[in-house]
Amino acid sequence: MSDQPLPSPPSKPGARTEVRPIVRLWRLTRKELRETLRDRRTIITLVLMPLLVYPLLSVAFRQFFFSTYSKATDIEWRIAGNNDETLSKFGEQLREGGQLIQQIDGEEQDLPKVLWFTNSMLEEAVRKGDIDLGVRSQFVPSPDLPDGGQLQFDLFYQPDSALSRTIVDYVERRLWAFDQIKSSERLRQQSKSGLPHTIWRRQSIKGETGQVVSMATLVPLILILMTITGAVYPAIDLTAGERERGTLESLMAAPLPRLSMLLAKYFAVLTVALLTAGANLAGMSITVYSTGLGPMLFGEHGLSPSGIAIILSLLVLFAAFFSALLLAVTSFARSFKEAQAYLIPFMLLAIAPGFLSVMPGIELSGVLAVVPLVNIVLLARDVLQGTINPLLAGAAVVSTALYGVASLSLAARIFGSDAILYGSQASWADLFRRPDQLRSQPTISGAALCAAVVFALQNVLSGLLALGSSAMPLEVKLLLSAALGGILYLAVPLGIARTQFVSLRKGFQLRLGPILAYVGALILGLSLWGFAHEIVLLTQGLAWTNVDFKKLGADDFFEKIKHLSPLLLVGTMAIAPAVCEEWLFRGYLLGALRGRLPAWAAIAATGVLFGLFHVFVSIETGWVRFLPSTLLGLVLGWICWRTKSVFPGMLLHATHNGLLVLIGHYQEQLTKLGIGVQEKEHLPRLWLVAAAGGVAMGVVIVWLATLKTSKR
Amino acid sequence: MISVVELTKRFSSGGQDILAVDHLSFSVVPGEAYGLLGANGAGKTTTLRMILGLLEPTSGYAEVEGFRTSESPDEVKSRIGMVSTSAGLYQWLSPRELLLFFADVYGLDDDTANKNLNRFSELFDLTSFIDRRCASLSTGQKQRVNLARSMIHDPPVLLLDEPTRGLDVVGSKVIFDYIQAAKKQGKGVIVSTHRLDEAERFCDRFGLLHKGRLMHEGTLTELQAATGCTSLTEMFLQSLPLIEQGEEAA
Repeated sequence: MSDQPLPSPPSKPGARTEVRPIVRLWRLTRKELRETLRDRRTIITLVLMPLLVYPLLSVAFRQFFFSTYSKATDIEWRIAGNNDETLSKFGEQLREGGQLIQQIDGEEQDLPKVLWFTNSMLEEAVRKGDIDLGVRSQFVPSPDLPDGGQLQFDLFYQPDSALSRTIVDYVERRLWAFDQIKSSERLRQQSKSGLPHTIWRRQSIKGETGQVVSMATLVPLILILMTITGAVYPAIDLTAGERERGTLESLMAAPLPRLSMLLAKYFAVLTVALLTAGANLAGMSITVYSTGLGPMLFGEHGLSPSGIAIILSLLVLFAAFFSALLLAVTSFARSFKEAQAYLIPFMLLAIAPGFLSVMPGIELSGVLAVVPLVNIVLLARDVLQGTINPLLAGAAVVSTALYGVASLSLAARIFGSDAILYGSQASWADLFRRPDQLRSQPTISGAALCAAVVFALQNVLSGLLALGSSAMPLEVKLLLSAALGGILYLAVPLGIARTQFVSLRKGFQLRLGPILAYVGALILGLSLWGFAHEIVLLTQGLAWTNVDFKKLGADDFFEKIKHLSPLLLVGTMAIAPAVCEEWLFRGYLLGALRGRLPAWAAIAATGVLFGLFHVFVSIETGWVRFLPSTLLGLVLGWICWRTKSVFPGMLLHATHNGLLVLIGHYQEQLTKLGIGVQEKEHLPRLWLVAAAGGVAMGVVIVWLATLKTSKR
Repeated sequence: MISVVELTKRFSSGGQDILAVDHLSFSVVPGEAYGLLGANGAGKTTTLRMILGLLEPTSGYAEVEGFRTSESPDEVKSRIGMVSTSAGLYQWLSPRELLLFFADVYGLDDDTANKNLNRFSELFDLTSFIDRRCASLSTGQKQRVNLARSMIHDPPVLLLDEPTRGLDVVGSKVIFDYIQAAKKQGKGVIVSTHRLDEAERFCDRFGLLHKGRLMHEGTLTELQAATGCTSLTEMFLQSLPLIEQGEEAA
């Protein structure tokens, strides 16, 4: 140690420069990445794995593949000609060519067993896989030849089928040999003709089933293995490893939000997972193509740019999901060993859904679209097969994103807590431990968990309701649907808020708010429906909102509601959804974001989520409800933000829904009065001008009513 | 500057309730070094962790410069530099990278961070290994980096948990000198140690802890007068049988 002078007097206590959260997150992530990528064990997983494992695997695979090839001669080859004469000539040339091959290569060990057929629909038979090779002959006139011409063979085969390619290669080699024999004979006879003695051409036909399809079913499993391999080690090292080395204590002693620390670790794990998966993909691709397995696995033209883009996008999705989940699991561990013990069953559970994609009959449905991991496995398979339903894909991606956010939020609750830092108490119990002090605001972790649970349950329950209620009268259906909404939208946030000891009044923003704001909300509720109607009409021509409402029984529905009690309709389709949805979206979710995000971001986030929920609540109507619901969600979010209360929004929402329902119910009467609204017709301009005036007035009134409260 | 009021911590372990800190109260004024003394398991480290906010107290509270740990954890953390026996270093970073990272975490701008880095690396003699990976450092070198890490933001309050562990005589002297200098600068220091002879040299007041309870508190002179012992070691050894007897009687 030196005898240097001691540091000068301290700077002003607590004086710190304010760092923007995004900058802080980047700096934390940079440190995590630096620490992780310098670790030799990470490099071994990242680089050595693809460099060593894939060449080894490819050797084994080739051995297997070619041993299968040699055994392919045990399989009966199904060759069909367009007629008997073709088969006779073709067989003759093959035999003669085969004799020359035998002279060059020696006696063939395994002669193929060939089943010969005649078939006039050769292309169709090859496409369906009924035959492995189709041979059509046609006479090509050539005056130079002794016979005035010669036969040309068209060889139809499936490039995606290994057996079909083997046969066509086998046949071509013998036809070439036959040509060589005939050329030699002609030279001996001093003929000057340079024309070949046999001609043929390959005709590839895309099969209905083939190797490419089966590769598509294997890709999800490969993606799971690749992303897990990359994410496991950094996830353990950056959580349990830090705790074991004692660096977590230093980090927790710093004035940093836990969520920032965890997000930095998440991005580091995600980066390593992506790098590992990228290195794996590159290693695999190089090995596959350099060993000649490429065309066998991916067809003659290899993977298209769009195919590569799809695989990379899926890679990001899988890596993002696994990184969040692995971090959540390892955040509970107090040591490396404990983390490994948690992860072994987790990994086994994670690999199992990978096999679902190869099982026939399992389709990406409304329910499976929200089952964690199963949804993205089936999504990957369907995307690669080109059979994806965009809406179900959306449900799978949205639910996966919500699960990821919920996992990270839960992890942030436990990460670095007493129990993990010092092993003082059971860590899992801490997750559900009720805090001692009443919270005035829902937590981000609670909000994320709530959104994920409601989204998943909504998809499952609405699917079950659709199945079970087909024979039910409409009024029962409406009551059931309202009850379901009540259970989901009211009970789930309430349950989570109770667990986290959140004040009902403040947490759900159950203040009365300024009375004048209700007037503005009412005017907005009466005015906005016209724009919702117009948006639906304007976007209906677009491909992504193209829905056949007739097919969905919309006409039948509108006919039926004319005969139901307006009270029942307003109660179940206007008041119940308004109360329940405002309770969840504006009360709980927007309440959790208040003060933690800028107003615009919080309103936009809940507005888009509101729109997405409306899309997936009736998945068969597609994206048609997304824009109007999102716009309504934005207006409702703005009102709640200004008034700090959910009640004006409930009034607006109920008025808006109620008006639409009553217009449907009294359609005939309104038409007779000359003010009817037809579903597929634009509203008169005057009406829209009046509606715009109403919206402007409503906005101004709410704004004026909340001038004082918003300043507070 | 530092107030600890009725601070209590209970742990549950294997179905048993362990009282680690029992209604502990004391305070530290600016420019004062307070020695928190006691045998292993007396509750010293737990107390320091609760002051910093790493552990949640079962009851009671701690305040640093008017900020209560439970209410303003970030304000408290930014004002404290903690040297802990259990704190480790990032193995794959160099001391320079590590110190600059923590300077950044505490919100220091680049100029101040570099200035403090140079000052502390000279003070704790880190210059010869400042760019080597922490994994390759000796125990003493690691402890010196740890000290620099906890002080890089020049905090007004220092919590030192066994700060001389792993250091040789020369290294320990630098710590003592630093504590003396920090006191002169008006910093509040709490030192937890079981090396009572060392504590006598630089602490202004002492709190003798046993099983989470504060048995004696005061200046060395006050404690000598109260106990009739000349050194802290004697006082501590003398008080132990009394404590045990009291526990048995209870």
